Amino acid sequence: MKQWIRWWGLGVFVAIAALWILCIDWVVENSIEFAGTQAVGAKVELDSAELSFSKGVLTLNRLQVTNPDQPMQNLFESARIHLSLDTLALFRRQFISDEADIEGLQLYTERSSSGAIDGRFFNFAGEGGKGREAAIDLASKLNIPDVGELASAEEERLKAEIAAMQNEVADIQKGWEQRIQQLPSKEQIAEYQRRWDKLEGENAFVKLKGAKELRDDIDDDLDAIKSLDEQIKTDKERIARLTEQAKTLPSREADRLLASVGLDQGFDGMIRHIVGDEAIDMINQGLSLYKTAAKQMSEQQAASEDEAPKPLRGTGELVRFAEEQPLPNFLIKQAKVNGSMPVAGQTISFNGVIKDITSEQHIWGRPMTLKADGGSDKGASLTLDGLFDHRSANALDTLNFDLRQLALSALTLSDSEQLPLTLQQGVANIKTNFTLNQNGISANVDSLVKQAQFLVADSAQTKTAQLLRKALASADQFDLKAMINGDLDDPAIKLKSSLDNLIGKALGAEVAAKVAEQKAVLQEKLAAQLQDPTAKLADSGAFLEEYKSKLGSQRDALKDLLKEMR
Amino acid sequence: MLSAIAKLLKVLNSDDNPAQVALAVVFALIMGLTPLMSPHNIVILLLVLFIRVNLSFFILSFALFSGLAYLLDPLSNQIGASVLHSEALQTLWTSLYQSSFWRFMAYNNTLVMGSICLSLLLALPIYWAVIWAITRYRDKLRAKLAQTRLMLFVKGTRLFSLYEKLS
Repeated sequence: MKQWIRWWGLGVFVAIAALWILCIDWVVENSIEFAGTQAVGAKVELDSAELSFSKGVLTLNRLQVTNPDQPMQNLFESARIHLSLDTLALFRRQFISDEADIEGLQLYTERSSSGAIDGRFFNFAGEGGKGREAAIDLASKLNIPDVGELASAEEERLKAEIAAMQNEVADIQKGWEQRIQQLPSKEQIAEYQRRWDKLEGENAFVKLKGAKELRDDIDDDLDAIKSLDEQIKTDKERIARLTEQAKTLPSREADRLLASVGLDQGFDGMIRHIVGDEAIDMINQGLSLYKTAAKQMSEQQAASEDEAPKPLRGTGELVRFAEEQPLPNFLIKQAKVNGSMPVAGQTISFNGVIKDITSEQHIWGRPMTLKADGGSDKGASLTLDGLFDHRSANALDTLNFDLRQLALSALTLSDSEQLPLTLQQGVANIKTNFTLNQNGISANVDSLVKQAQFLVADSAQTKTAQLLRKALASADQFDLKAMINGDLDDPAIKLKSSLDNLIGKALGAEVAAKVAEQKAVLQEKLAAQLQDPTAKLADSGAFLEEYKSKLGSQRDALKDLLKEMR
Repeated sequence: MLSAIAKLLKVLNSDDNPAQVALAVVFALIMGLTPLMSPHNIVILLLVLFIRVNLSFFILSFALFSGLAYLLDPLSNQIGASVLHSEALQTLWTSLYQSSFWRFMAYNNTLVMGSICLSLLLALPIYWAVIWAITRYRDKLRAKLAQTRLMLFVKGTRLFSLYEKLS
């Protein structure tokens, strides 16, 4: 028996086990970083982790979660997270915490190094996002682009458009060349005449039978001619429409090109050109945070409802069996949160409670809820409540955010050189209602700014700047409404404000005159470029008249023969 | 590498108990075919270290079976899924599922279950086959092989001098 036992081997095993226990904190830290990074799609970092099995406590120090849309920014970071754990559940591969304290939570903090993962693609919403694309500041709106450049940039495309119309007419003509071949020729009509002449010499019975056959053949030809008459009518109308389209192309293109540079909306939505970038950035930041969280809430369920994905090599698939008390793999029953977030240059502190945080709500059976309130030392107050129900495929998320008495100062609205605009001071009330369900996102942000004072910097001495300075001097209050609707990944964002009218009145005549003048010039340039191809197109339908007269003469010849047969 | 082969030759040619070599191969089979980080492998590691099995054979066989696992994974996964979804065994699996110990052992993982079934199925035949092969080699082949031209050539190589040093 002794020869079968290796006592030093037992010592080695104990040493390995001890080393593993000593390194458990490091293992936990790396596991959280790895799993978090996989889930978010950007770096998740921890300064340290401390796990105590005996006390059933896990403490995470300085957790940073990178914004997957902006690698130099954290979506959030937390100074300390303290979790009471069900240690027995850990053996069941479940992370169950009855209570958690999330301390020093901060949103959108700057990172000292990039949080991008090597080889991963980041989605820079700001560079290609729909919102940013449409955002043009007011100065550029008044600084209308060179219409000559616009026209020459589009010349090839427009000519190609007319060429496509000409090709369509050519196809119609080709079709007619084939149809005409199938019509009875002069020889065919002469053949009918010969058949009739021959029948006249036959007996009554043969003549009657032959005449009927001949009449049937002629009727068939007349029917064919009749249907071709209809076709001629249709094709004439189509060619007329194409010609009309070609003629009106310069005017329609002028409108489209001006719209593409933001000169089509009049003064409705003017505020978008002033605060568009800032407001859309804030909205996109909020949506980015939501999308990251929602992805964690839904993906487990989606995986269970869709066809199960093939497991990776060497991993297998965990099969679930019925449980007496089913629990999700990840659950924090209640988390107390305190932290701060930057809003318009000041820090809003908050305290709150998040309940039922889990990746598998359908197992836990309760939706996640959020309640928080807080404020700033300058007198602002915040209330926040939300419900995130992902228990079934018809997920419903609602979030209400009410921020009152937010003191604003030196808020840059436009930093363009031609029109540097700042909100020097103001007090804002901002109310947000956010709903997301299977139909998409529907959110309203209503803001009212009182005691407003604007500043158009003295460096801007253009006439526009002077008019705007004068108009904004009288604006001591304004509202700003944002409406976000549609698909979460590509929402339509509309901004409206009482400033729209104010700016419109101040600058309306000037901008309207400029736009009208430029439109006329642009239209003229486009018309000149397209004159020749449009004229060719207008003439190209003449062949139909020729075919029409050909059809007419053949119909007459056939009818004459029928008359003769009577 | 040469030294590892020499060690193996030494074991084969020595009078060590063939069961110790066979057991090393069987432990390597289980550890190699099943996912390395599965909890049952802690027990296997303890047994490998505590029971006097041949470590050289264990390491070599583990490398061999780990490589083989790449090919056998799909089969193991399929076996595991069939076993875990078997109607007849549902009561057993459901009762085990209520236990933290069995959940920790990941018995409900298709690959773990399949590869354990496969390795346990192969364990006994391989154990006896190794014992039979070593005994046969020592009884019949060792003396004959020593007289072959190839062996005479090998005896003149560096490998053999290394082997001599170790014996």
